[in-house]
Amino acid sequence: MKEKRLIIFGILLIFIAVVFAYYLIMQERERHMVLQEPDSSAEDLETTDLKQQSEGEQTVQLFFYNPGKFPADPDFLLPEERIIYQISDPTLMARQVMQELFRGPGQDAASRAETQEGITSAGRTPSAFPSGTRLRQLFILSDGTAVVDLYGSTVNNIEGAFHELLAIQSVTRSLVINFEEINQVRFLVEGKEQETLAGHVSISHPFRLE
Amino acid sequence: MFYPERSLSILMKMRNRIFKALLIMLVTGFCLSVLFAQQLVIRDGSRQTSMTARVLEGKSYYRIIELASALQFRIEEKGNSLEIIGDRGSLTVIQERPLVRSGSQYILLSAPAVKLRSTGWWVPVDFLEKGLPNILSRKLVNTGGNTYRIESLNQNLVRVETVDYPDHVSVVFRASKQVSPRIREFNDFIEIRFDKYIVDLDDIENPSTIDVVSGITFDPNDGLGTFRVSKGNRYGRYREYVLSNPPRVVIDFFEKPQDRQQEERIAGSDAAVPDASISEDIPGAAPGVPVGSPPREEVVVIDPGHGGIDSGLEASGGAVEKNLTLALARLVEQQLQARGIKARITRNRDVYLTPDQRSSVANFYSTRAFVSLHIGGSPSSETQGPVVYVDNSYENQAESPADDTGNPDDALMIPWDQGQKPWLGKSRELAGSLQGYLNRLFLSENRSLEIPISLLEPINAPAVLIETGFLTNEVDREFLVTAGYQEEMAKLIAEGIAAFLR
Repeated sequence: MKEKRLIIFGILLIFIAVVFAYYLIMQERERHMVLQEPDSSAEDLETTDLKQQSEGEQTVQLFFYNPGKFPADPDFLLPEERIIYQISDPTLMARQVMQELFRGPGQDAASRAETQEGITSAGRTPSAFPSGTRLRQLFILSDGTAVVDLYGSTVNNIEGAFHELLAIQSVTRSLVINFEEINQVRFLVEGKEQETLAGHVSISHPFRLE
Repeated sequence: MFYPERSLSILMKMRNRIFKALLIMLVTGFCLSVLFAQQLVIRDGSRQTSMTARVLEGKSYYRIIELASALQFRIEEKGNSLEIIGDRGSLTVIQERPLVRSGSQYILLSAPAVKLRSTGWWVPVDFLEKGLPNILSRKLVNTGGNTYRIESLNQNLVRVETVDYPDHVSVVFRASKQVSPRIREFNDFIEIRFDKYIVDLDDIENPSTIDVVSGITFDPNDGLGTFRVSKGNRYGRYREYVLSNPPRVVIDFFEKPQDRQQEERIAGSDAAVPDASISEDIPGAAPGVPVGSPPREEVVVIDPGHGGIDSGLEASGGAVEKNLTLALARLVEQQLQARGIKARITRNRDVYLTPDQRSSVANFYSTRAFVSLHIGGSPSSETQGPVVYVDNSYENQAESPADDTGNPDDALMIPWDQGQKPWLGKSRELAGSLQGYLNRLFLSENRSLEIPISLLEPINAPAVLIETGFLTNEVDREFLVTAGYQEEMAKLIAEGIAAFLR
């Protein structure tokens, strides 16, 4: 008799525990799903089948640092051509440009691999962005402002006013030159407005081409 | 064998225990779920609405549909956006973007709005304070934790105090968070507009005499948080300070000068000699300064970049920017004093200062020149030589209503973040002089640059930021870390400043 009672009681306990655990797991799963959402949208270049969406190819100009030069020099940034997929949505195009810019200078796959460290090898131009930089988010507002959202880990590797300025000008020029829809660039870090990009240069206002 | 009637009788006998066990489990379950989900409480007078907040990526999210019923606004879904219609206007929340569109204006949220398949739209916590006040005639005020109180807009005001001094009246607006009000002068009054940064309207403390300030009023019906300080018949001019610790805006109203001598006395009346180097509460323009104290010291302010937790650039050999700039700043100070120029440095030890603390030191003194010392870094080891930077933020901004007067006293009335505006020309001169002297040491031909620099924006004096060479370049690194070169550099910086002052 006593044993049976215990068994029934035990089964009841287990049943309730299972229901409760299931509820918690479902909650956690949904939470994870949401957590992954912003990430997946930032990476939609990889996940979206650009080829399928593309209406052909388009040549764009990316602007990289010309070693040893300063912003006052006319050849501070050097253009480099890249081919990206042509898509009717300018945001997707702009994201491709940013992705190419983060890959660093060097036109072919072989030289890309060599510059992955972001360090100047003989005669090669360095990238303003650390290796492995990913775009957190980019969107274009109707007034022609491209909002570029960078990860904190990206800006942590940008040190000093000169380097910040280089990064800002490289992005601004690459976006404004290639897209009619973009006339200025606003920077966010980790989705938030910041006073400076990495401690020196103010990013409280958008940047235009000078 | 299984006997159903027996089991039933056992169950009947045990029902009390089973009920107890179930009750305990329910209570435990409830407690656990409270741990996992935060409860949001909204109080509207005596009515109280609770809803579950969810924590996603460290941010509390609230469900719009629940907010809508508590705060009485309508929602309409349109594709990947959601329109929120309140009694004062409408907002559009965009899926997966940290943005809310309000007419042609965009409001940035701290995290993106999300739409879940099962429960619909969720918005981050700051939507309550940033988004909703734009469309509702009522506002949510956080009263601690996840509890909010619904208040009508006119209740949310800054606390106002006035202090009478022999030569001026200080009106202090104390706020609960950092404020940046718009201050405009009209014929009969000065308008101070706080927009959304509003706290309690307990009581406005009017000044005891009405000569300089005849009264302070607040119009609760305009919904904009606008104070008016009416001028008295002896009002002459005002001076404003936006201070951060605690957040407050101090506006000093001065009497009309009787003659030139008196005017000079008033101009000098803010003086105090602070040890500004590590002060938490920046001297700024604290009221309570003794009358008749000497005019503010004319000094050159040298600011060693970085410090404390903020090391700045670090070179492979162990050289750290914060230490190099401090060593150089001390040398520059000595060199300036050797030339008979009074100098102050913003920090004299390894301590972290905020940009506002640094610029407040410059704005406290009657600063002849402000020089912030930094070291450069570049992705290329070929980038070389010193670069002097000037702040041109103001050139890139639209004109704000506060700066239209053309009055020679403008320098005394400009908002905090526009301190550098009238000094751009002088700062260029200072930069030119310093760049020239430093180029001599580095044998470089670098030119000074004009870019938006946050630190320099508020400084009401000629101000520059120098990157005294690149730690990423071998030759520069040698210059920067060797004591002999540091002294030489300090001499040239001092000489560059002296040449500018001459």
